[in-house]
Amino acid sequence: MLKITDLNTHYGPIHALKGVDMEIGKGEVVSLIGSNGAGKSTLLNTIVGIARSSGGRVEFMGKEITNSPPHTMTKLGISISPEGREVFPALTVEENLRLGAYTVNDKKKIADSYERVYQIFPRLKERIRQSAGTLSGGEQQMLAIGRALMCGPELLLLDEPSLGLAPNFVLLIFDLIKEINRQGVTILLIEQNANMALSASNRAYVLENGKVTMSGDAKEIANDPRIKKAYLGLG
Amino acid sequence: MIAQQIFNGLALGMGYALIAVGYSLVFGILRLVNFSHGSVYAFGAQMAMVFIGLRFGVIPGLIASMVLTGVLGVAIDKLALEPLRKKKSIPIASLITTIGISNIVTNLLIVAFGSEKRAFPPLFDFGTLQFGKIVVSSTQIGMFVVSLILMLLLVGIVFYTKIGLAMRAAEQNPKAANLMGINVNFVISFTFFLSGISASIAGSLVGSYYQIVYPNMGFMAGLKAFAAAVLGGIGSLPGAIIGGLIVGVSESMAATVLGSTYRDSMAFIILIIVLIVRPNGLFGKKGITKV
Repeated sequence: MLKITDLNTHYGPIHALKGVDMEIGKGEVVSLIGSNGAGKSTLLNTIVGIARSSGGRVEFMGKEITNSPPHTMTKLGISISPEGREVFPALTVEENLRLGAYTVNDKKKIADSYERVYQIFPRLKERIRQSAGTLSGGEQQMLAIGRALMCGPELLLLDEPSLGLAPNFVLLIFDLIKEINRQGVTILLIEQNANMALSASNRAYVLENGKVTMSGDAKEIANDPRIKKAYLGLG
Repeated sequence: MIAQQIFNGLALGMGYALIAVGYSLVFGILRLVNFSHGSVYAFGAQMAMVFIGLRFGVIPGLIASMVLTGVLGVAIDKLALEPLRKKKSIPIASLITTIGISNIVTNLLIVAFGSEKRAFPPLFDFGTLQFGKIVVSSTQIGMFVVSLILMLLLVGIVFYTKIGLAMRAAEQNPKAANLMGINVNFVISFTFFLSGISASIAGSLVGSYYQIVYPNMGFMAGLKAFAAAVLGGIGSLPGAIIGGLIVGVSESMAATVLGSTYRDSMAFIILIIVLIVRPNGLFGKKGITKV
């Protein structure tokens, strides 16, 4: 579904991505783990066009989308829940969700999307008229993911969904991610919480200094002694 | 006497409010004080004069001026401000650019029309009405009503339409708005278009109130409207309206009580007091950090 070949990105003099190859198949949950500054968010930003790649290719469902501008992504079927949630604080929960479906013109589809999001996140339904800035961190995270689902995406990119959340919320969010995947959405998950990410994924990529150093089945990676030592705090 | 001045002030104040709305719209989305707005207002007034003079009829003439002035607003953004945003230049660069544009537009108007004052046709000339001791001209009533309708229309667009929702989203977080599929540059252009349209109507109304227009008319009016926008809380639409009305009323009161020499200074005296007492303005939001 998503195919990345030899992708390079520069931030000024910094060579942030050094030839990344990655592939995500339909229906998978793939996680991308790595330490701070490894280039995880840069990779995501390059896929959606926030950062410009300096070489390589991004293909989505057989179509080249390298360096397409960010506002064209939802129409293609790619949607992102960005790091730090980035909800619109002064707008209501409902308005935030409506913006997620900004490129959808079919009223029926929008109504169905609301329905689906409220079914996955009943807490949001209780807070429809509340402004997003007054929600707790976990609720804002739900809103960010819900908002990303409003356009009915094929591929959902989740950037650090567990960042800064209380442990019980982390568990809840990961359960919901699995639920969203069961409904047929392919997911690319970026996480520092490697433990949780690997347990929720089919496959995983490990990114170090802008390069993929390991990839494969999530369970195998979780059992790899080097990964245990570096990311899981074991060994 | 006082009541009469209050009424005169309200009509004039609505004119200021319409200009102030243009500052607020652009400031809301770009956090930029668009100092070229006064010249855009003068441009709108000149164009209305030209088109009505060409026997377009009043309404088609005004509409032609509105569209053209809106396009001027978009052109200013596309040619001068968008390139600066793309280069991520410091905010002060855009601010100074708008001052430069203001001079360019004003001087182009002088080249085209000469710097002298020209007669502007009265738009709503149906004589005067008398309520007790208060005499109100139909021009004043027309000015007040048209401005009010336009203002409500603008508020309606911003708060009850899809593009308005996109404007409010882009105002709060342009990056996230972009990820929602909103073409933020289009939203910015649309905002400049709206601000140009309101400037054109303000220019035509004020022009018909004084029955003169001239290329430099935007300088003082633009600064006073800026004061009005800050007074109301820049970035807030209701604030721009209230701010405009306060400036208009205090101006016509000052002209009567203190003498007409003090008229032009009132807006700035109020501006200074507001900046000391309530830096965010009457309806301003807290925590605006960008210049």
